[in-house]
Amino acid sequence: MLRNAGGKTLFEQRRPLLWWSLGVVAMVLIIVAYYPSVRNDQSLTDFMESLPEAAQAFSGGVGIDFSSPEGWANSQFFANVGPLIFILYGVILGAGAIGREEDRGTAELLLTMPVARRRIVIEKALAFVALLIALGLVLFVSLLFGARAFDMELGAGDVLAASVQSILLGATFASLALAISCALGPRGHAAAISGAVAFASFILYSLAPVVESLDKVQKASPFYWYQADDPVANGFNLGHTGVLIAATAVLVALAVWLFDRRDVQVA
Amino acid sequence: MDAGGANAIEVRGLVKRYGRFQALHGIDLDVHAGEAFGFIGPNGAGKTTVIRILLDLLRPSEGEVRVFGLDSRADTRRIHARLGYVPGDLTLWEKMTGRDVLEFLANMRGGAGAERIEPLAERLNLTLDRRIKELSRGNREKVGLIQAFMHEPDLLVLDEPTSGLDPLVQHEVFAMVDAATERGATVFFSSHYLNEVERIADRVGLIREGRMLTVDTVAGLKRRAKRRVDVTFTEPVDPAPLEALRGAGDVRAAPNRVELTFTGEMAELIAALAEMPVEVLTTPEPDLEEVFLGLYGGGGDAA
Repeated sequence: MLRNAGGKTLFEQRRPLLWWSLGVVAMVLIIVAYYPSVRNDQSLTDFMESLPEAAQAFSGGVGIDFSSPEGWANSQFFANVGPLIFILYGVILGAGAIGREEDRGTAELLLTMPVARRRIVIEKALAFVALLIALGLVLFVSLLFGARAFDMELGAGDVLAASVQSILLGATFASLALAISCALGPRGHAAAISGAVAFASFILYSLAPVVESLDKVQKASPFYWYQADDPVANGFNLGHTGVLIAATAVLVALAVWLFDRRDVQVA
Repeated sequence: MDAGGANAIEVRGLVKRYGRFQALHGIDLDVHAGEAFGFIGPNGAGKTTVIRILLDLLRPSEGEVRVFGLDSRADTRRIHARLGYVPGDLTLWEKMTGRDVLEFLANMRGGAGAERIEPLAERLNLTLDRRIKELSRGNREKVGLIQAFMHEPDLLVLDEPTSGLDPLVQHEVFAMVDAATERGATVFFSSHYLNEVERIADRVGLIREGRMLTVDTVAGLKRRAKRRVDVTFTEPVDPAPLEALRGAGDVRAAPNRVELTFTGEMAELIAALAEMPVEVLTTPEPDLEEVFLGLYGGGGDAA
Protein backbone atom coordinates (compact mmCIF):
# COMPACT_ATOMS: atom_id res chain seq x y z
CA MET A 1 0.00 0.00 0.00
CA LEU A 2 2.88 2.32 0.71
CA ARG A 3 4.07 2.16 -2.87
CA ASN A 4 3.34 5.80 -3.68
CA ALA A 5 1.80 8.99 -2.33
CA GLY A 6 -1.72 7.94 -3.25
CA GLY A 7 -1.24 4.55 -1.62
CA LYS A 8 -0.02 6.25 1.53
CA THR A 9 -3.25 8.26 1.65
CA LEU A 10 -5.31 5.07 1.39
CA PHE A 11 -3.16 3.50 4.10
CA GLU A 12 -3.76 6.46 6.42
CA GLN A 13 -7.47 6.65 5.63
CA ARG A 14 -8.39 3.00 6.09
CA ARG A 15 -9.69 3.49 9.61
CA PRO A 16 -11.58 6.76 8.98
CA LEU A 17 -13.20 5.08 5.95
CA LEU A 18 -14.49 2.36 8.22
CA TRP A 19 -16.21 4.95 10.45
CA TRP A 20 -17.70 6.83 7.51
CA SER A 21 -18.97 3.52 6.13
CA LEU A 22 -20.58 2.56 9.41
CA GLY A 23 -22.25 5.98 9.46
CA VAL A 24 -23.68 5.52 5.99
CA VAL A 25 -24.90 2.00 6.75
CA ALA A 26 -26.57 3.12 9.96
CA MET A 27 -28.23 6.06 8.23
CA VAL A 28 -29.50 3.95 5.35
CA LEU A 29 -30.83 1.22 7.65
CA ILE A 30 -32.79 3.74 9.74
CA ILE A 31 -34.32 5.23 6.61
CA VAL A 32 -35.38 1.93 5.01
CA ALA A 33 -36.64 0.59 8.32
CA TYR A 34 -39.07 3.52 8.59
CA TYR A 35 -40.36 3.02 5.07
CA PRO A 36 -43.02 0.37 5.86
CA SER A 37 -44.66 2.77 8.31
CA VAL A 38 -45.00 5.58 5.74
CA ARG A 39 -45.79 3.68 2.55
CA ASN A 40 -49.47 3.35 3.29
CA ASP A 41 -49.77 6.62 5.04
CA GLN A 42 -50.66 9.61 2.91
CA SER A 43 -50.68 12.02 5.86
CA LEU A 44 -47.01 12.95 5.64
CA THR A 45 -47.31 13.83 1.98
CA ASP A 46 -50.48 15.78 2.71
CA PHE A 47 -48.77 17.61 5.53
CA MET A 48 -45.79 18.51 3.37
CA GLU A 49 -48.03 19.74 0.60
CA SER A 50 -49.70 22.06 3.05
CA LEU A 51 -46.36 23.78 3.69
CA PRO A 52 -45.11 26.75 1.64
CA GLU A 53 -43.16 25.69 -1.43
CA ALA A 54 -39.93 27.10 -0.04
CA ALA A 55 -40.20 24.79 2.95
CA GLN A 56 -40.94 21.87 0.67
CA ALA A 57 -37.94 22.79 -1.46
CA PHE A 58 -35.60 22.19 1.46
CA SER A 59 -37.28 18.94 2.49
CA GLY A 60 -36.52 16.91 -0.57
CA GLY A 61 -38.35 18.77 -3.31
CA VAL A 62 -41.62 20.40 -4.19
CA GLY A 63 -44.58 18.06 -4.54
CA ILE A 64 -42.65 14.94 -3.60
CA ASP A 65 -44.55 11.74 -2.84
CA PHE A 66 -43.22 10.48 0.48
CA SER A 67 -45.02 7.18 0.23
CA SER A 68 -43.16 6.11 -2.91
CA PRO A 69 -39.81 4.36 -2.46
CA GLU A 70 -38.01 6.99 -4.59
CA GLY A 71 -39.72 9.88 -2.84
CA TRP A 72 -38.83 8.47 0.54
CA ALA A 73 -35.18 7.82 -0.45
CA ASN A 74 -34.85 11.34 -1.88
CA SER A 75 -36.54 13.14 0.97
CA GLN A 76 -34.64 11.25 3.64
CA PHE A 77 -31.25 10.85 2.02
CA PHE A 78 -30.40 11.91 -1.52
CA ALA A 79 -31.71 15.44 -1.19
CA ASN A 80 -29.99 16.27 2.10
CA VAL A 81 -28.10 13.88 4.38
CA GLY A 82 -26.51 11.93 1.51
CA PRO A 83 -24.87 14.87 -0.24
CA LEU A 84 -23.92 16.30 3.15
CA ILE A 85 -22.02 13.11 4.00
CA PHE A 86 -20.32 12.79 0.64
CA ILE A 87 -19.41 16.47 0.43
CA LEU A 88 -18.12 16.54 3.99
CA TYR A 89 -16.00 13.46 3.42
CA GLY A 90 -14.80 14.79 0.07
CA VAL A 91 -13.91 18.22 1.40
CA ILE A 92 -11.98 16.75 4.33
CA LEU A 93 -10.03 14.52 1.96
CA GLY A 94 -9.52 17.19 -0.70
CA ALA A 95 -8.43 19.94 1.66
CA GLY A 96 -6.13 17.52 3.49
CA ALA A 97 -4.57 15.80 0.49
CA ILE A 98 -1.77 18.32 0.09
CA GLY A 99 -2.82 20.72 2.85
CA ARG A 100 -2.22 18.32 5.68
CA GLU A 101 1.22 17.33 4.41
CA GLU A 102 2.12 21.00 4.31
CA ASP A 103 0.48 21.94 7.56
CA ARG A 104 2.23 19.19 9.48
CA GLY A 105 5.55 19.68 7.73
CA THR A 106 5.70 16.20 6.17
CA ALA A 107 5.59 17.84 2.73
CA GLU A 108 9.24 18.65 3.23
CA LEU A 109 10.23 15.00 2.89
CA LEU A 110 7.45 13.96 0.53
CA LEU A 111 8.32 16.66 -2.01
CA THR A 112 12.06 16.06 -1.93
CA MET A 113 11.62 12.54 -3.23
CA PRO A 114 12.32 12.02 -6.94
CA VAL A 115 8.65 12.25 -7.86
CA ALA A 116 7.19 15.29 -9.60
CA ARG A 117 4.84 17.48 -7.63
CA ARG A 118 2.19 17.07 -10.29
CA ARG A 119 2.28 13.37 -9.94
CA ILE A 120 1.86 13.59 -6.20
CA VAL A 121 -1.21 15.82 -6.60
CA ILE A 122 -2.71 13.46 -9.18
CA GLU A 123 -2.04 10.38 -7.05
CA LYS A 124 -3.63 12.07 -4.07
CA ALA A 125 -6.67 13.01 -6.15
CA LEU A 126 -6.98 9.42 -7.38
CA ALA A 127 -6.79 8.31 -3.75
CA PHE A 128 -9.69 10.49 -2.65
CA VAL A 129 -11.74 9.40 -5.64
CA ALA A 130 -11.05 5.79 -4.66
CA LEU A 131 -12.12 6.48 -1.07
CA LEU A 132 -15.32 8.16 -2.25
CA ILE A 133 -16.00 5.21 -4.54
CA ALA A 134 -15.55 2.88 -1.59
CA LEU A 135 -18.05 4.89 0.45
CA GLY A 136 -20.41 4.99 -2.55
CA LEU A 137 -20.18 1.24 -2.85
CA VAL A 138 -21.14 0.92 0.80
CA LEU A 139 -24.13 3.16 0.11
CA PHE A 140 -25.10 1.13 -2.94
CA VAL A 141 -24.92 -2.23 -1.20
CA SER A 142 -26.58 -1.15 2.02
CA LEU A 143 -29.42 0.70 0.28
CA LEU A 144 -30.04 -2.04 -2.27
CA PHE A 145 -30.24 -4.85 0.26
CA GLY A 146 -31.71 -2.73 3.03
CA ALA A 147 -34.54 -1.61 0.75
CA ARG A 148 -35.26 -5.18 -0.30
CA ALA A 149 -35.42 -6.29 3.31
CA PHE A 150 -38.15 -3.70 3.99
CA ASP A 151 -40.12 -4.09 0.77
CA MET A 152 -38.99 -0.76 -0.54
CA GLU A 153 -38.91 -1.27 -4.27
CA LEU A 154 -35.91 0.43 -5.77
CA GLY A 155 -34.30 -0.70 -9.03
CA ALA A 156 -30.69 -1.85 -8.69
CA GLY A 157 -29.69 0.34 -11.63
CA ASP A 158 -31.36 3.35 -10.07
CA VAL A 159 -29.67 2.82 -6.72
CA LEU A 160 -26.38 2.46 -8.56
CA ALA A 161 -26.99 5.69 -10.47
CA ALA A 162 -27.84 7.58 -7.28
CA SER A 163 -24.74 6.17 -5.56
CA VAL A 164 -22.51 7.14 -8.47
CA GLN A 165 -23.99 10.64 -8.46
CA SER A 166 -23.24 10.88 -4.71
CA ILE A 167 -19.65 9.83 -5.33
CA LEU A 168 -19.25 12.39 -8.08
CA LEU A 169 -20.79 15.21 -6.07
CA GLY A 170 -18.31 14.41 -3.29
CA ALA A 171 -15.47 14.23 -5.81
CA THR A 172 -16.40 17.62 -7.28
CA PHE A 173 -16.17 19.34 -3.91
CA ALA A 174 -13.09 17.32 -2.92
CA SER A 175 -11.38 18.61 -6.06
CA LEU A 176 -12.53 22.14 -5.32
CA ALA A 177 -11.01 21.90 -1.84
CA LEU A 178 -7.82 20.43 -3.34
CA ALA A 179 -7.58 23.25 -5.88
CA ILE A 180 -8.10 25.90 -3.20
CA SER A 181 -5.46 24.38 -0.94
CA CYS A 182 -3.09 24.13 -3.90
CA ALA A 183 -3.70 27.80 -4.64
CA LEU A 184 -3.65 29.25 -1.16
CA GLY A 185 -1.61 26.86 0.96
CA PRO A 186 -2.45 24.97 4.12
CA ARG A 187 -3.71 27.99 5.99
CA GLY A 188 -5.90 29.14 3.11
CA HIS A 189 -9.08 27.72 4.66
CA ALA A 190 -9.72 25.38 1.75
CA ALA A 191 -12.21 23.30 3.73
CA ALA A 192 -14.19 26.30 4.97
CA ILE A 193 -14.36 27.94 1.56
CA SER A 194 -15.40 24.70 -0.13
CA GLY A 195 -18.03 24.11 2.54
CA ALA A 196 -19.42 27.61 1.98
CA VAL A 197 -19.53 27.05 -1.78
CA ALA A 198 -21.31 23.72 -1.25
CA PHE A 199 -23.88 25.35 1.01
CA ALA A 200 -24.52 28.15 -1.48
CA SER A 201 -24.88 25.58 -4.28
CA PHE A 202 -27.41 23.68 -2.23
CA ILE A 203 -29.46 26.81 -1.52
CA LEU A 204 -29.30 27.85 -5.16
CA TYR A 205 -30.52 24.50 -6.43
CA SER A 206 -33.15 24.05 -3.75
CA LEU A 207 -34.67 27.48 -4.24
CA ALA A 208 -34.70 27.35 -8.04
CA PRO A 209 -38.12 25.65 -8.24
CA VAL A 210 -39.71 28.43 -6.19
CA VAL A 211 -37.73 31.42 -7.40
CA GLU A 212 -38.23 31.82 -11.13
CA SER A 213 -35.17 33.98 -11.72
CA LEU A 214 -32.91 31.15 -10.52
CA ASP A 215 -34.08 28.80 -13.23
CA LYS A 216 -31.06 29.33 -15.49
CA VAL A 217 -28.56 30.09 -12.74
CA GLN A 218 -29.17 26.82 -10.95
CA LYS A 219 -27.10 25.05 -13.59
CA ALA A 220 -24.05 26.62 -11.98
CA SER A 221 -24.77 24.48 -8.94
CA PRO A 222 -23.22 21.00 -8.84
CA PHE A 223 -26.40 19.95 -7.03
CA TYR A 224 -28.33 20.48 -10.24
CA TRP A 225 -26.15 17.98 -12.12
CA TYR A 226 -26.25 15.65 -9.15
CA GLN A 227 -30.00 15.52 -8.58
CA ALA A 228 -32.01 17.33 -11.27
CA ASP A 229 -32.82 14.18 -13.20
CA ASP A 230 -33.75 12.29 -10.02
CA PRO A 231 -31.34 9.36 -10.45
CA VAL A 232 -32.89 7.14 -7.78
CA ALA A 233 -36.12 7.24 -9.84
CA ASN A 234 -34.81 7.59 -13.38
CA GLY A 235 -31.38 5.96 -13.31
CA PHE A 236 -28.35 7.28 -15.14
CA ASN A 237 -28.30 10.49 -17.08
CA LEU A 238 -24.92 10.33 -18.76
CA GLY A 239 -24.97 14.02 -19.57
CA HIS A 240 -25.40 15.01 -15.94
CA THR A 241 -22.87 12.43 -14.77
CA GLY A 242 -20.47 13.72 -17.40
CA VAL A 243 -20.72 17.29 -16.12
CA LEU A 244 -19.68 16.21 -12.63
CA ILE A 245 -16.82 14.10 -13.97
CA ALA A 246 -15.64 16.99 -16.12
CA ALA A 247 -15.85 19.42 -13.19
CA THR A 248 -13.74 17.06 -11.07
CA ALA A 249 -11.16 16.63 -13.82
CA VAL A 250 -10.90 20.36 -14.48
CA LEU A 251 -10.50 21.18 -10.79
CA VAL A 252 -7.82 18.52 -10.31
CA ALA A 253 -5.96 19.82 -13.36
CA LEU A 254 -6.21 23.32 -11.93
CA ALA A 255 -4.87 22.04 -8.60
CA VAL A 256 -1.89 20.42 -10.33
CA TRP A 257 -1.10 23.61 -12.19
CA LEU A 258 -1.47 25.84 -9.15
CA PHE A 259 0.61 23.68 -6.82
CA ASP A 260 3.40 23.37 -9.34
CA ARG A 261 3.83 27.14 -9.38
CA ARG A 262 4.10 28.07 -5.76
CA ASP A 263 6.38 27.77 -2.75
CA VAL A 264 5.71 24.80 -0.54
CA GLN A 265 4.66 26.12 2.83
CA VAL A 266 6.28 24.26 5.65
CA ALA A 267 6.63 25.55 9.17
CA MET B 1 28.81 11.96 -13.59
CA ASP B 2 30.88 14.88 -12.45
CA ALA B 3 34.43 15.37 -13.43
CA GLY B 4 36.84 15.83 -10.53
CA GLY B 5 36.95 19.38 -9.25
CA ALA B 6 33.50 20.22 -10.58
CA ASN B 7 31.01 21.89 -8.33
CA ALA B 8 28.25 19.84 -6.78
CA ILE B 9 26.28 23.00 -5.99
CA GLU B 10 26.43 26.38 -7.67
CA VAL B 11 24.36 29.23 -6.31
CA ARG B 12 24.27 32.39 -8.40
CA GLY B 13 22.75 35.72 -7.46
CA LEU B 14 20.10 34.09 -5.33
CA VAL B 15 17.40 36.46 -4.11
CA LYS B 16 14.28 35.51 -2.20
CA ARG B 17 11.57 37.99 -1.33
CA TYR B 18 8.40 37.42 0.63
CA GLY B 19 6.30 40.44 -0.21
CA ARG B 20 8.31 43.35 1.12
CA PHE B 21 10.57 41.19 3.25
CA GLN B 22 13.78 40.13 1.57
CA ALA B 23 15.20 36.92 2.99
CA LEU B 24 18.17 36.56 0.64
CA HIS B 25 20.11 39.43 -0.91
CA GLY B 26 22.04 37.81 -3.73
CA ILE B 27 23.81 34.69 -2.53
CA ASP B 28 26.72 33.28 -4.52
CA LEU B 29 28.18 30.01 -3.41
CA ASP B 30 30.10 27.03 -4.79
CA VAL B 31 30.26 23.68 -3.08
CA HIS B 32 32.90 21.44 -4.61
CA ALA B 33 32.07 17.85 -5.46
CA GLY B 34 33.28 15.54 -2.74
CA GLU B 35 33.73 18.11 0.00
CA ALA B 36 31.90 18.62 3.24
CA PHE B 37 30.68 22.17 3.30
CA GLY B 38 29.39 23.76 6.48
CA PHE B 39 26.82 26.49 6.09
CA ILE B 40 26.98 28.60 9.18
CA GLY B 41 24.97 31.46 10.49
CA PRO B 42 22.69 32.60 13.26
CA ASN B 43 19.01 31.65 13.28
CA GLY B 44 17.08 33.53 10.64
CA ALA B 45 20.19 34.21 8.56
CA GLY B 46 18.75 32.42 5.53
CA LYS B 47 20.42 29.00 5.73
CA THR B 48 17.20 27.03 5.53
CA THR B 49 15.85 29.30 2.79
CA VAL B 50 18.88 28.56 0.61
CA ILE B 51 18.52 24.84 1.31
CA ARG B 52 14.81 24.84 0.46
CA ILE B 53 15.42 26.66 -2.81
CA LEU B 54 18.12 24.12 -3.64
CA LEU B 55 15.49 21.41 -3.04
CA ASP B 56 12.87 23.25 -5.14
CA LEU B 57 10.53 23.54 -2.17
CA LEU B 58 10.81 27.30 -2.53
CA ARG B 59 11.23 29.18 -5.78
CA PRO B 60 13.87 31.89 -6.12
CA SER B 61 12.79 35.47 -6.80
CA GLU B 62 16.01 35.97 -8.75
CA GLY B 63 19.10 33.94 -9.49
CA GLU B 64 19.53 30.22 -9.85
CA VAL B 65 20.85 27.11 -8.21
CA ARG B 66 22.50 24.29 -10.09
CA VAL B 67 23.09 20.90 -8.52
CA PHE B 68 25.40 18.54 -10.41
CA GLY B 69 25.06 21.04 -13.23
CA LEU B 70 21.28 20.54 -13.30
CA ASP B 71 18.83 23.37 -12.81
CA SER B 72 16.99 23.18 -9.49
CA ARG B 73 13.72 24.17 -11.14
CA ALA B 74 13.82 22.25 -14.40
CA ASP B 75 15.59 19.03 -13.38
CA THR B 76 14.17 18.61 -9.91
CA ARG B 77 13.50 14.89 -10.14
CA ARG B 78 16.97 14.04 -11.41
CA ILE B 79 18.48 16.09 -8.61
CA HIS B 80 16.23 14.57 -5.96
CA ALA B 81 17.13 11.06 -7.09
CA ARG B 82 20.76 11.82 -6.23
CA LEU B 83 20.35 13.52 -2.89
CA GLY B 84 19.41 12.72 0.65
CA TYR B 85 17.92 15.39 2.86
CA VAL B 86 17.49 15.76 6.59
CA PRO B 87 15.20 18.72 7.33
CA GLY B 88 16.06 20.96 10.25
CA ASP B 89 12.60 20.68 11.67
CA LEU B 90 11.86 17.07 10.83
CA THR B 91 8.25 15.90 10.87
CA LEU B 92 7.19 12.39 9.94
CA TRP B 93 3.82 10.71 9.53
CA GLU B 94 2.80 10.20 13.14
CA LYS B 95 0.62 7.15 12.69
CA MET B 96 3.10 5.18 10.66
CA THR B 97 5.84 3.05 12.17
CA GLY B 98 9.48 3.82 11.50
CA ARG B 99 9.53 0.89 9.13
CA ASP B 100 6.42 2.14 7.29
CA VAL B 101 7.99 5.55 6.82
CA LEU B 102 11.30 4.20 5.59
CA GLU B 103 9.75 1.64 3.27
CA PHE B 104 7.42 4.27 1.88
CA LEU B 105 10.27 6.67 1.19
CA ALA B 106 12.37 3.89 -0.33
CA ASN B 107 9.43 3.09 -2.61
CA MET B 108 9.22 6.75 -3.60
CA ARG B 109 12.85 6.34 -4.66
CA GLY B 110 12.00 3.31 -6.77
CA GLY B 111 13.16 0.96 -4.03
CA ALA B 112 16.62 2.48 -3.67
CA GLY B 113 18.09 1.89 -0.23
CA ALA B 114 15.40 -0.47 1.07
CA GLU B 115 17.99 -3.13 1.84
CA ARG B 116 19.94 -0.75 4.07
CA ILE B 117 17.02 0.13 6.36
CA GLU B 118 17.67 -2.75 8.75
CA PRO B 119 21.45 -2.41 9.00
CA LEU B 120 21.23 1.35 9.53
CA ALA B 121 18.51 0.97 12.16
CA GLU B 122 20.68 -1.54 13.94
CA ARG B 123 23.70 0.71 13.74
CA LEU B 124 21.74 3.64 15.19
CA ASN B 125 20.01 1.38 17.71
CA LEU B 126 16.51 2.27 16.48
CA THR B 127 13.43 0.08 16.91
CA LEU B 128 11.53 0.14 13.63
CA ASP B 129 8.20 -1.24 14.78
CA ARG B 130 7.18 1.70 16.93
CA ARG B 131 4.85 4.35 15.62
CA ILE B 132 6.47 7.70 15.01
CA LYS B 133 4.29 9.38 17.63
CA GLU B 134 5.67 7.00 20.24
CA LEU B 135 9.27 7.87 19.44
CA SER B 136 11.44 10.39 21.24
CA ARG B 137 12.81 13.36 19.35
CA GLY B 138 16.19 11.66 19.07
CA ASN B 139 14.70 8.48 17.66
CA ARG B 140 12.68 10.43 15.10
CA GLU B 141 15.87 12.13 14.04
CA LYS B 142 17.37 8.68 13.51
CA VAL B 143 14.53 7.81 11.12
CA GLY B 144 15.30 11.09 9.34
CA LEU B 145 18.97 10.18 9.07
CA ILE B 146 18.30 6.67 7.76
CA GLN B 147 16.05 7.91 4.98
CA ALA B 148 18.70 10.41 3.92
CA PHE B 149 21.61 7.95 3.94
CA MET B 150 20.01 4.66 2.92
CA HIS B 151 20.26 5.08 -0.83
CA GLU B 152 23.88 6.29 -0.66
CA PRO B 153 23.19 9.57 -2.43
CA ASP B 154 25.80 11.66 -4.21
CA LEU B 155 24.76 14.70 -2.21
CA LEU B 156 23.69 14.90 1.40
CA VAL B 157 21.85 18.01 2.47
CA LEU B 158 21.67 18.14 6.22
CA ASP B 159 19.92 21.02 7.95
CA GLU B 160 21.25 21.03 11.52
CA PRO B 161 21.87 17.27 11.45
CA THR B 162 22.83 16.60 15.04
CA SER B 163 20.56 18.95 16.94
CA GLY B 164 18.61 16.97 19.51
CA LEU B 165 20.83 13.90 19.30
CA ASP B 166 22.70 12.47 22.23
CA PRO B 167 26.51 12.47 21.96
CA LEU B 168 26.69 8.77 21.12
CA VAL B 169 24.40 9.13 18.13
CA GLN B 170 26.10 12.38 17.18
CA HIS B 171 29.30 10.43 16.97
CA GLU B 172 27.61 7.85 14.76
CA VAL B 173 26.34 10.61 12.47
CA PHE B 174 29.84 12.00 12.11
CA ALA B 175 31.02 8.51 11.16
CA MET B 176 28.25 8.19 8.57
CA VAL B 177 29.17 11.56 7.10
CA ASP B 178 32.83 10.52 6.97
CA ALA B 179 31.92 7.30 5.20
CA ALA B 180 29.84 9.29 2.71
CA THR B 181 32.63 11.70 1.86
CA GLU B 182 35.05 8.79 1.62
CA ARG B 183 32.99 7.20 -1.11
CA GLY B 184 32.99 10.57 -2.88
CA ALA B 185 29.68 12.06 -1.83
CA THR B 186 29.29 15.76 -1.23
CA VAL B 187 27.92 16.94 2.10
CA PHE B 188 26.22 20.30 2.45
CA PHE B 189 25.13 20.95 5.99
CA SER B 190 23.98 23.85 8.04
CA SER B 191 24.81 24.23 11.66
CA HIS B 192 25.33 26.52 14.52
CA TYR B 193 27.15 23.96 16.58
CA LEU B 194 30.84 24.71 16.35
CA ASN B 195 32.06 21.26 17.31
CA GLU B 196 29.97 19.88 14.47
CA VAL B 197 31.50 22.30 11.99
CA GLU B 198 35.06 21.68 13.11
CA ARG B 199 34.48 17.94 13.06
CA ILE B 200 32.81 17.64 9.65
CA ALA B 201 33.53 20.59 7.41
CA ASP B 202 36.35 21.03 4.92
CA ARG B 203 35.14 24.51 4.14
CA VAL B 204 32.59 26.77 5.70
CA GLY B 205 30.45 29.59 4.40
CA LEU B 206 29.14 32.19 6.78
CA ILE B 207 25.77 33.73 6.10
CA ARG B 208 24.11 36.55 7.95
CA GLU B 209 20.93 38.46 7.21
CA GLY B 210 20.67 36.89 3.78
CA ARG B 211 24.20 37.75 2.67
CA MET B 212 27.33 35.63 2.47
CA LEU B 213 30.00 37.05 4.75
CA THR B 214 32.86 34.81 3.80
CA VAL B 215 33.78 31.36 2.55
CA ASP B 216 36.98 29.77 3.73
CA THR B 217 38.53 26.57 4.99
CA VAL B 218 38.26 25.90 8.68
CA ALA B 219 42.02 26.32 8.95
CA GLY B 220 41.88 29.54 6.95
CA LEU B 221 39.26 30.97 9.22
CA LYS B 222 41.30 30.10 12.24
CA ARG B 223 44.31 31.76 10.69
CA ARG B 224 42.26 34.91 10.36
CA ALA B 225 41.03 34.61 13.88
CA LYS B 226 41.98 36.89 16.71
CA ARG B 227 44.65 35.01 18.66
CA ARG B 228 45.25 35.50 22.28
CA VAL B 229 48.96 35.79 23.04
CA ASP B 230 50.39 35.54 26.51
CA VAL B 231 54.11 36.22 27.07
CA THR B 232 56.05 36.13 30.33
CA PHE B 233 59.50 37.63 30.52
CA THR B 234 62.54 36.93 32.64
CA GLU B 235 62.73 40.61 33.63
CA PRO B 236 60.42 43.65 33.47
CA VAL B 237 59.93 44.96 29.92
CA ASP B 238 58.47 47.92 28.09
CA PRO B 239 55.41 46.69 26.13
CA ALA B 240 55.63 49.58 23.61
CA PRO B 241 57.18 47.54 20.73
CA LEU B 242 54.35 45.02 21.01
CA GLU B 243 51.65 47.67 21.21
CA ALA B 244 53.06 49.19 18.05
CA LEU B 245 52.58 46.01 16.01
CA ARG B 246 49.91 45.92 13.33
CA GLY B 247 47.04 43.77 14.51
CA ALA B 248 47.83 44.01 18.18
CA GLY B 249 45.04 45.01 20.50
CA ASP B 250 43.77 44.87 24.02
CA VAL B 251 47.28 44.92 25.45
CA ARG B 252 47.52 44.33 29.17
CA ALA B 253 50.95 44.71 30.62
CA ALA B 254 52.32 43.69 34.02
CA PRO B 255 55.99 44.23 34.75
CA ASN B 256 57.01 40.69 33.74
CA ARG B 257 54.08 39.76 31.56
CA VAL B 258 52.15 40.99 28.50
CA GLU B 259 48.80 39.72 27.28
CA LEU B 260 47.35 40.85 23.98
CA THR B 261 45.09 39.81 21.13
CA PHE B 262 46.68 39.59 17.75
CA THR B 263 45.33 39.42 14.21
CA GLY B 264 48.46 40.48 12.31
CA GLU B 265 51.37 38.55 10.78
CA MET B 266 52.76 36.05 13.24
CA ALA B 267 56.27 36.58 11.86
CA GLU B 268 56.22 40.25 12.87
CA LEU B 269 55.17 39.39 16.37
CA ILE B 270 57.94 36.85 16.69
CA ALA B 271 60.51 39.26 15.28
CA ALA B 272 59.49 41.81 17.91
CA LEU B 273 59.64 39.22 20.66
CA ALA B 274 63.09 38.10 19.55
CA GLU B 275 64.44 41.43 20.82
CA MET B 276 62.94 40.79 24.25
CA PRO B 277 63.79 38.47 27.18
CA VAL B 278 61.01 35.97 26.58
CA GLU B 279 60.55 33.23 29.14
CA VAL B 280 57.27 31.59 28.05
CA LEU B 281 55.10 32.26 25.01
CA THR B 282 51.63 30.74 24.81
CA THR B 283 48.96 31.24 22.20
CA PRO B 284 46.03 28.87 22.47
CA GLU B 285 44.45 27.40 19.34
CA PRO B 286 41.63 29.83 18.50
CA ASP B 287 38.30 28.10 18.38
CA LEU B 288 35.76 28.83 15.73
CA GLU B 289 33.50 30.42 18.24
CA GLU B 290 35.85 33.37 18.44
CA VAL B 291 35.99 33.57 14.67
CA PHE B 292 32.23 33.58 14.43
CA LEU B 293 31.78 36.06 17.21
CA GLY B 294 34.32 38.27 15.50
CA LEU B 295 32.50 38.03 12.19
CA TYR B 296 28.97 38.16 13.54
CA GLY B 297 29.85 40.97 15.87
CA GLY B 298 31.56 42.98 13.18
CA GLY B 299 28.48 44.68 11.82
CA GLY B 300 28.19 42.35 8.89
CA ASP B 301 31.35 43.19 6.93
CA ALA B 302 33.70 40.37 6.10
CA ALA B 303 36.89 40.23 8.15
